[in-house]
Amino acid sequence: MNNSSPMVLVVDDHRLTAEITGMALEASGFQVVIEEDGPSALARLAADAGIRAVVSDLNMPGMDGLALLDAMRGQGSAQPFVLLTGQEETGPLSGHPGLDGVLAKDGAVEETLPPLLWRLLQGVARPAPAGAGVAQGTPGGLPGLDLEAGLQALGQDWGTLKSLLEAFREEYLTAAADLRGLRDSGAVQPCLAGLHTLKGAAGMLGATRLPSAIADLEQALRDQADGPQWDTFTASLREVLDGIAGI
Amino acid sequence: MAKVLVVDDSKMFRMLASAPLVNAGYDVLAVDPVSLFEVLKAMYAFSPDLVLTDYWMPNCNGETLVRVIREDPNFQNVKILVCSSHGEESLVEKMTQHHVNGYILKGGGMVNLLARTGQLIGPV
Repeated sequence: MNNSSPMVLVVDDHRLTAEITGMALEASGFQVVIEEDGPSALARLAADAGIRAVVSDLNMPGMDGLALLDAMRGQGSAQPFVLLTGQEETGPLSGHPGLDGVLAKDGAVEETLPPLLWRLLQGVARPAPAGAGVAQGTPGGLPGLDLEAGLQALGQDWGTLKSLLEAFREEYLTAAADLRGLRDSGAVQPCLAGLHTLKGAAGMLGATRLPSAIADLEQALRDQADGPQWDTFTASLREVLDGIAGI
Repeated sequence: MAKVLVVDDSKMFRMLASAPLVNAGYDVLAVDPVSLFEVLKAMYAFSPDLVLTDYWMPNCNGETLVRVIREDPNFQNVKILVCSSHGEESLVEKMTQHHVNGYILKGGGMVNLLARTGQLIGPV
């Protein structure tokens, strides 16, 4: 992340939830600022022209998320606006004028929100991670993986990162087929547990597309509506595993 | 040297969490939470400064683990950092009620884990 990263304003009266949302965005390359109520968010928007998008909770005391959106549009702020909801149905809200996206605040939001914001901000180049390509012997980059974050965490120790990548590949080489087999045999809960474990490891390793592909598949399985999500998951996992095989 | 106990049922995650901590100079013990008893045995044997734990674990409920640690006077100074793939508001609130010291997402990666560890028990 650097100064060229787009800045996102996160608005939530629950500070810890805002920080969790902010962490997911920062991990995806955004800068984040937080406000805990609508009026403060409006003041921040008026004062800071660098804010490129707004993510707001729906239910907040005083001014709720939709009132914030209306007030924001009223004061001429045109940034993309994404609403996060609790248990409510998201469908009826999606037609609200000026609203660019509605996401349920569930376990998948940290995977689904960053790609949605990048799509809304198309044309804004994703910044290269700080210190890109500095470690000797590292590949220039691997598809579907943020190698530089791993190197940063490991003090630029490419040998250790390589070992972790290879261990990941060995552990999950047959995971797509194994998990599909579980699902096809009716063992949906074990399949979900396996996907969840893989999602955590992939996120920790710095996989970029795989965690959101798994989150989409998890949701589809819970809704008993899984289909093309399997292909996206399999392709995302294959992308990571094939990249590691080439190092 | 500050000590970190890593508790997660995923062997791969234990490796991924331990590597940056060891590299940074922390004394790290990673345990497979086959039972609450085994984790508590490790707590007494290792006397960690920080427990890094998952929440959803099949044989060791993370919420129970946190509550037991918080109720034990031997561990009153131990910091607890929950690292989960779940970011639901209700879960974060529940963990906050148990006085955990931090809650991070696995999707934040190793950099975030290292940074939060340093905030809680200091860099090595």
